[in-house]
Amino acid sequence: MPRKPTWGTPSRSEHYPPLRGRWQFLYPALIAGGVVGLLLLGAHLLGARGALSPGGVTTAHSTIDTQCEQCHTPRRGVSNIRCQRCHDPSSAGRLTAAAHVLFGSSDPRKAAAAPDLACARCHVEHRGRRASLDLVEDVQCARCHFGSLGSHPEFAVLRSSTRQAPGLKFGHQKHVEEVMKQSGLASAQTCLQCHQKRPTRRDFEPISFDLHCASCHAKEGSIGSADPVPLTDVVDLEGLRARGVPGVAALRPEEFESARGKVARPSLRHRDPWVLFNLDKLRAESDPDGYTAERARLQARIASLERRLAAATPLAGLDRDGLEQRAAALESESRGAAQRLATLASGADVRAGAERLGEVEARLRAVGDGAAADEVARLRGSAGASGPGAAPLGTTDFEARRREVLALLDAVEAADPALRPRAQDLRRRLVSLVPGEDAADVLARVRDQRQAALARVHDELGLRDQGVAPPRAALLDADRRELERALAEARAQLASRSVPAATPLAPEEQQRRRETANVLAAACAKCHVLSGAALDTVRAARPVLVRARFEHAPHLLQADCARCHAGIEASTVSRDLNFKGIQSCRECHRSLQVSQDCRECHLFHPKVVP
Amino acid sequence: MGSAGALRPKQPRNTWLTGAAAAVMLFLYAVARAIAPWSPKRGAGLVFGVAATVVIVFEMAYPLRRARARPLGTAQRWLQAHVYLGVLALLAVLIHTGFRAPGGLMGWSLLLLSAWTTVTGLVGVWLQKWLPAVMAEGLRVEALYERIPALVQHLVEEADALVVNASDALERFYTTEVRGRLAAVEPSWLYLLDVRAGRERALEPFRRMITFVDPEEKEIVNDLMTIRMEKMDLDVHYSLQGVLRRWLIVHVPPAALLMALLVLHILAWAVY
Amino acid sequence: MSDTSDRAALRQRYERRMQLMVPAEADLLARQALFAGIPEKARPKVIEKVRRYIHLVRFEEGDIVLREGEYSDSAYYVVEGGAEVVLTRESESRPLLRGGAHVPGAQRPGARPEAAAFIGRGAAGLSGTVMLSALPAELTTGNKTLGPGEIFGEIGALSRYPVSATVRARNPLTVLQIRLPGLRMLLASSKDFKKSVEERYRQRVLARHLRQVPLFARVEDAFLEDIKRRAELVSFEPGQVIAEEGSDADAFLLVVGGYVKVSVRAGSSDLALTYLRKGDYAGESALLLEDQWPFALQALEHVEVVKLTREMFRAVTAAYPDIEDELWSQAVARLKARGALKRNPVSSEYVQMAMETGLIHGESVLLIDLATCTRCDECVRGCADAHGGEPRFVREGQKYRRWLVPTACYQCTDPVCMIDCPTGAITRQVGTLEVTIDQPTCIGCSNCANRCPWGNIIMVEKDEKRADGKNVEVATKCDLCLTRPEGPACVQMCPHGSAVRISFKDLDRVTSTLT
Repeated sequence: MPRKPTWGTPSRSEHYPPLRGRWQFLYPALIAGGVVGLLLLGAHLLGARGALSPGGVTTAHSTIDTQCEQCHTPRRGVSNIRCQRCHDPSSAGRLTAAAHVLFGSSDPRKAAAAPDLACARCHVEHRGRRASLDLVEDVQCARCHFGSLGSHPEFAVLRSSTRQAPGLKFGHQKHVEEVMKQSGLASAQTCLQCHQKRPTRRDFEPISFDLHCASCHAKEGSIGSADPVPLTDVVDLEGLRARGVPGVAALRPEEFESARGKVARPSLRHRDPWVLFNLDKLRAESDPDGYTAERARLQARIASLERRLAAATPLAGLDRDGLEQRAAALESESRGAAQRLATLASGADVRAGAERLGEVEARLRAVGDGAAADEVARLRGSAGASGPGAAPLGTTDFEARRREVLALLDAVEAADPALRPRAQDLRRRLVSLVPGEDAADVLARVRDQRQAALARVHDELGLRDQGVAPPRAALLDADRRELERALAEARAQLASRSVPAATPLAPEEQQRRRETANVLAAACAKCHVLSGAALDTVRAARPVLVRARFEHAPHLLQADCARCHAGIEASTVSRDLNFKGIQSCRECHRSLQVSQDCRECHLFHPKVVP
Repeated sequence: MGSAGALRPKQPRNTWLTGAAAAVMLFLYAVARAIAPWSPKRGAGLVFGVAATVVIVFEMAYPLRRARARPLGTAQRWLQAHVYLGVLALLAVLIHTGFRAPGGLMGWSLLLLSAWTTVTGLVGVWLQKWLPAVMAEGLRVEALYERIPALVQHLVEEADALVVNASDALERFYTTEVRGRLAAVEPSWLYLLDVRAGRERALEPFRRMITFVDPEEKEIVNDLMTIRMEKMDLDVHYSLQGVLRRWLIVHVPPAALLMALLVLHILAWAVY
Repeated sequence: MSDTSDRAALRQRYERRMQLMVPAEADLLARQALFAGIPEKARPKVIEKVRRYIHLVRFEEGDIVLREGEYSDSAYYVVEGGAEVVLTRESESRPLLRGGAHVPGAQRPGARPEAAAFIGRGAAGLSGTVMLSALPAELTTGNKTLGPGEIFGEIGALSRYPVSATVRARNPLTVLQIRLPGLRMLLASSKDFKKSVEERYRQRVLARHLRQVPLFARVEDAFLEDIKRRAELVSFEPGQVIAEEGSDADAFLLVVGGYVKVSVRAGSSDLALTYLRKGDYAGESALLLEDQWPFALQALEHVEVVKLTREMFRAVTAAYPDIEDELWSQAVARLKARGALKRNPVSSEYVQMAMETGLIHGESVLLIDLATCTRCDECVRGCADAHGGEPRFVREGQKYRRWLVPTACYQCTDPVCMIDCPTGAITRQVGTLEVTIDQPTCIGCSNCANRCPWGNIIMVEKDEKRADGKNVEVATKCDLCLTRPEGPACVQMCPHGSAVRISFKDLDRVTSTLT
């Protein structure tokens, strides 16, 4: 019998072979998985933070990559306070959304109502060393603003004539003709003769007299001559030397021609120190109020910058003592503001102020300064008359009042130099006032700011208590450097307005001083604008756009000047831009789809020193 | 139904449903992307992450359901859900990352494990469709995996009994060319490619031998040939059923590891 | 019967009985009236042949000889003592065993809708066969006692119907238990015996059998009596041709017991068209159309048939036109099926295979599609889980095309496993599908396991110890998970849907599921 092939199983078993365990795979796998998970967790808890990290941090933060507590609070995540430990030390709040709104709208009420955005929302970390936290996507901006270049509004500076006066008399037409004549270039090619590209930057060299104008306007170093002016009105060379005015050493007595009680100069150099000093002096004599006000503004700015500089060390850079000091200072300020608020609410403010004025008056009379005492009495009377709750001052009245009080502070400081810190403080506060704001609002704002800053300091102290050491990397110095630079500039400006206050002159004397100034600065007035006895600030070479930055260099590759500034060669006024506005941007950036990130032109955060 | 037909989805309706769900997910992603920048830990990114977690936890529920014969619906429905939801889970994970490379060890591990689990799962689906079809079509003998060694033993004994009174030539033939191949199970990876691999070559010696033996022994050689073929069938079964079993090792432990890492991932997000 | 001591006592009694199952003494047999009908000369030879299947069994008072609902393969001839038929109240009000395996799941109490799909019940619903009672009519009324010389159980054994009433020993009883092969031999060799059996059948049972056939449900008693008198009872051996295709059709056949294959000649082979079992009939188309047999009829096993002549049949149809209508519709359906089969011969191969392998008997056969089965064992695991940790089938068996038939009980229509259970542990509740084994009652004699032709009953060791120190064994088999609301765990737990349960009797389902 041949063996038949089996279809199916060769035989039947009596009993079923034991089934492999139901959990044979699952248990070991789950246990192994659990063990690995526990190992990673353990590693994390023991300090190897790479295990649970969602990704490396950017290079700037690389020293604190594995120190999660520097930025993260367990169960609460990242908060703005932690970013501000190192960033934004000097003006706590510069990097907030409120500051952005203030920067854009200049309206503190709007700024106060702005939502509090988390830094981490736009600046996303943990994307690796090469990631740049600056790369914020346009979608973020589109949350509040428009979505694309198509809906970008016209430039503010073109919409309203809010552009500040250029302070210079300059007409393109004449200059273009002249350059064309001299160089034989076509009109479109003359632009680059003066507007030269910076070798390492992306925009033009700012127009400066020495680089661009001097070749024609300062023949042999002279811009012109000064007609004779009365010697009594001006200070001569020795006087300048005696006062130690900087730059005087370059002047020689031969340049001065004195005759018949007048002094003239046949040749003047640009920014001649003698002319500038005497203009300053004449100004001080002919417009003492304005001069004082300007000085006071500069002093207030200096005071504000000094204060900011004092606080410019980031919290993470302070040692424990420093932190506690700062905490104590903030606390006292906050308490002070709260107290002031309370007294304001109770209406005791005015009475106390009147009392204090009464004391000052009595002291002055005791010293023998009757005129000052009268002044104080007058103030006291007017303060008593108005009282609290009066209608808010209009802008001009407000500015006038501010100037008055600043001048008063000047006088106080001159009388008693020991009161300088207090005077600086008051100046700073005066300058920070905004017309139309209620005193209570201001105080509340101050108190809240101090409280917030205090909270930051406490947070830092808490971190130190936990043993979290401050990051080792060089803490940000850019803020400090900016502040120092701005402070130096402000001080220099103050130094150039350092004519001491003299007894006020009679109006006709003031008028004569003005005439002298006009004669003195006749050569300057060819280009500069002289108002009163002061040369207006030259703003012509500064960037026009207020809230954006525009770089010419990449555009020069694609277009010539006439594409956007067509017709500028016919302009006779310095104010002209001959610029079409946002439409000309759209022509390329929209229709040709050239990149149009918001970040290319705009900044979110205001600069350190506005 | 040929082997190629075996690869078609058993429930095409589920395939369509899954495709539609995937399309909806991608559409939601595109919409969310246009509204706000993508972040895995906030908003739509978080939603997709949570959805992926929920689906992955459900995926693990499938073996738990399998274990008990409780009245919770047929195992077939659960397997369909397991497979299709697994694909959607991978898609949800990819959307959760925003289709950009994850940073860090944890992120890469999770993404790679998810991808590995899903891909091995789909490979398993393919294996489970393909191998049974070729086994059913190409083999006669059927056997339980655990019994195959014993069955091979029985075959050897049967063959031994056949040749116990055979002529010398046959006995020699048997000892040298046959018994060696019968004695133990011989699994081979070649059976994955072709279920009948090596069969003709294996039967060659028998066909040759038939011509050399006496007529009364022809039957013995034929029987030996039948036994040899059955042994080959058992080898194929051992190989292919073994593949089906070992595939689980490739699929399940990484899934468990994924679960563990997922727990840590969620802990890290919640705490930090 | 859940007490160990009860079980031990029961086992003792069983063993005692088994010891008595030795062939009866020839001289004892020779003395019995049973063998009177055999010619003197042939008698010793017949007795020699037959005594292997005849046993002298003694019952104590109160022992149960036949249990209601169980299947028996023996006739009992009382030698000494008395046996009484015990009717419970249920059996009084329910004089017949109706439905049995064929009551659709949906109509049973506590039915589980999806279970019907899992079990294999197709849309055909009631399969149409009626199970007929096998006990004499008069025995079912009142408590009749059977005394020496009386015989009972022979119809049931021959046609394998479940016993309709319990028979108990009233006083110490001695019987000759004649098992089915012996019974058949006696029928063949003793004309007297055959006549007496037929006579008894005709008098007592035939009318009721005929009454239960739906066809004759509304026929008047007098008519039925007439039919009864003139009908012929014919027996066929396994494989014997009952009717040839193309031969003259001259009789109406009513199948009383066994399976009959209906086939059509196609080319050089026979194609199985369908099959007939007890209660089915054939020959109506030929008689109605005055034609030849359109199919061939062949007995698949021992078949008993009631034959009605042409005149008889004509009389019936003349008197009852609605019977003729029904026959017409049945004939048309069969001819249609025949035509379809001739056009597409391959579709019958599954039925053919089922008939050859015996799967045709099953009411719910578990099939595993090897083309989608990943051999993951989930079906077995689910079965084990549903039965306290041990599975009830093995994934081994015959393979046909791509289908494997594992050793899960087929829930046969005529379960032979139920024959000879000493304790009645294996039962089929009337009106249900599942043959179940009550584990506490089972004493592990393995009669059922040995009887099952496919080895679907497996003996499992329990922790209890027998008197001889070995572990108690209990028989286990698939019970269609009757305690699970969703039905069979094997089908539900297969992740690929490879496990299906069908009944090969339901041809539509066979076609739709298997092909």
